[in-house]
Amino acid sequence: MSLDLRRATAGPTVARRRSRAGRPPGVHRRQSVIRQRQYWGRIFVLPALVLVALLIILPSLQGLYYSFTDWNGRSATWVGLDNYINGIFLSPDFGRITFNSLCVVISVPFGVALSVVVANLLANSTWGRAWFRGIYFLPIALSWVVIGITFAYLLSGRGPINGLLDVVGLGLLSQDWLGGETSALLSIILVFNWSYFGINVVLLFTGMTTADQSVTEAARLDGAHGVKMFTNIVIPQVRRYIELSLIVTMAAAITQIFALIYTMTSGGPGVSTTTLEYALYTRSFSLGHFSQGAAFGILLFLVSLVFAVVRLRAGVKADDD
Amino acid sequence: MMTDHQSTITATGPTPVAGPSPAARKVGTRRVGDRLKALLSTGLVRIVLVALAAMTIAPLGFMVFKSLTKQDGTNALTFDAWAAVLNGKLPQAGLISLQVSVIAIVVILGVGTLAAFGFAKLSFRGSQPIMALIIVLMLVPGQTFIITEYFNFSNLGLIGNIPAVGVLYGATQIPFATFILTNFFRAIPDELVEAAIIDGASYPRAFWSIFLPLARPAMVTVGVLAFIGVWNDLLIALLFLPTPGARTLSVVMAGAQDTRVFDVSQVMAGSLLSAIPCIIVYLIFQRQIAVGLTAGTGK
Repeated sequence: MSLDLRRATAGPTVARRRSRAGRPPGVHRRQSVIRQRQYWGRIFVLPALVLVALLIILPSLQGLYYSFTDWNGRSATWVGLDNYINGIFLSPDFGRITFNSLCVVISVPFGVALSVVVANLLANSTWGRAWFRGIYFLPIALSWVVIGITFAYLLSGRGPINGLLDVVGLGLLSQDWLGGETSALLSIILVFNWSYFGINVVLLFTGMTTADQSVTEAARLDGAHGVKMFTNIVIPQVRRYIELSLIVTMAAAITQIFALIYTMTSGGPGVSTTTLEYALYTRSFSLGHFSQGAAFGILLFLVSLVFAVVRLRAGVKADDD
Repeated sequence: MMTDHQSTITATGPTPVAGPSPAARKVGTRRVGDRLKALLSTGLVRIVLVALAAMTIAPLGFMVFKSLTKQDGTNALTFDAWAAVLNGKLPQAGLISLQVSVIAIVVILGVGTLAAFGFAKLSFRGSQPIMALIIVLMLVPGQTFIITEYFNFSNLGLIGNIPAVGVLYGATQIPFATFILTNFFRAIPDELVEAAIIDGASYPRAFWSIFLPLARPAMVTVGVLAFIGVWNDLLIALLFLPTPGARTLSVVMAGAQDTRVFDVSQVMAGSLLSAIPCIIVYLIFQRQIAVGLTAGTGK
């Protein structure tokens, strides 16, 4: 409250001077200004609050409730943790589904590492820089649907990637990439990282070019160059950006990969490319187990929360130094 | 023989340049060596950069190629696939995608800028907990509420209702938009509001005439990201707009993508067609998109 008062009087020096002569009108005016401001503040925030409450908070709480029930879309009976225990953790394919999600998440640091290296190359070379940046960043405009459709064809049995392998003399490797359990998962992982590669390059490049150049310059005068410069100077400088890349990409691996899987493999063969997120869809809308889907939704929220906490702590650490 | 020949070359090499002192010569060769190394490494860097750029652009180039050639082995140029796609149901689907995106953007920017102004400049009792709530909501993935949302919409008869789904898309992005816009408004001095109020303007007037014009760059960033997000989304459109006349481009394409069933050229032309609006937006607003992505670094 006291903070509000100070902020209200910070600007209008005229009002303050007038209030020295006759106090009551000044105080009155100040209070009415504050009341006005609070009133309009509430009005301005209200529409956002209403929309978010009706379309995000309410259905999320409903989802939490239904995850503890046996629910077919109409009637629900309370079953406690049954959906979580028997529906998810003890279901026969849960091991494979978790494995798939983990594989995608674990692949992310490797993809980001490549992005860091390429961003550094780009930051040190002005040759065609704008062009490269423009091209690398382009996949951000392509939807998962378009990416998935294109790669599904590129990777198909008679597709161009097998044709290329034949030409190079690696015809032995050519196969229906999306038809085998391991190769399908590998394909999803590679295409996912392909999509985020350039986005991360641009993100990290931005970090490198906006970083304090005097530090790099001083290190160069001290004789640092090449790999040493990269690991000792550049990486610490853009640590925040690397963390951001990692977390954004990992979060996408957990919650935004649905359309890619839908268009490339539909989660198959079997459940070999079904992730937690895709399982939510199949459990609910293919099998009709809506309460299990709701439980998966809560699980995904908890995973996102873990990422957020990690990110917050990383942020705090970065502020310390 | 070979070794003999080589040894004579190395032996005769230094003799013609016997002019300067040995020390100076050594420096000279090292400089040449360094320059050679530098040339080699920049060459290598350029090769890597070009190769990666090729890998990024190749699928797109491939789509263009496939959509414009005959699939009978001759690879002759033809516009048949594009004609078929443009005369099919994709333009109608594109119109649906556009409607949904525009409604979502209007909701996001309208509601988001108002809320951001409220949070940043008109703090009231309870505004901070509400802002914290908005930030927490940024962490809730759509999947957490999508199933119950589906049944709520279904009970209200809103499945297949384009404006309602546009508003839903808008709502899902309000937390992020409000967060970005609030940070932007906070950077504008408070004195600007106070001066306007002293001059007799009302708060809505100060918002409309002073802050909204100032917020244009941030609004462009938020709007462009929202457009790409909504235009490219599949999950919500797949569930909430399943009726044949209300399907978005993503839904139609995802349903007609199997190249074992459908003509490859047409699938590629359709994919390109659905990607073109986003690519155009991207080419115009590349910088703003990058700014939006780095907004999370806290700088």
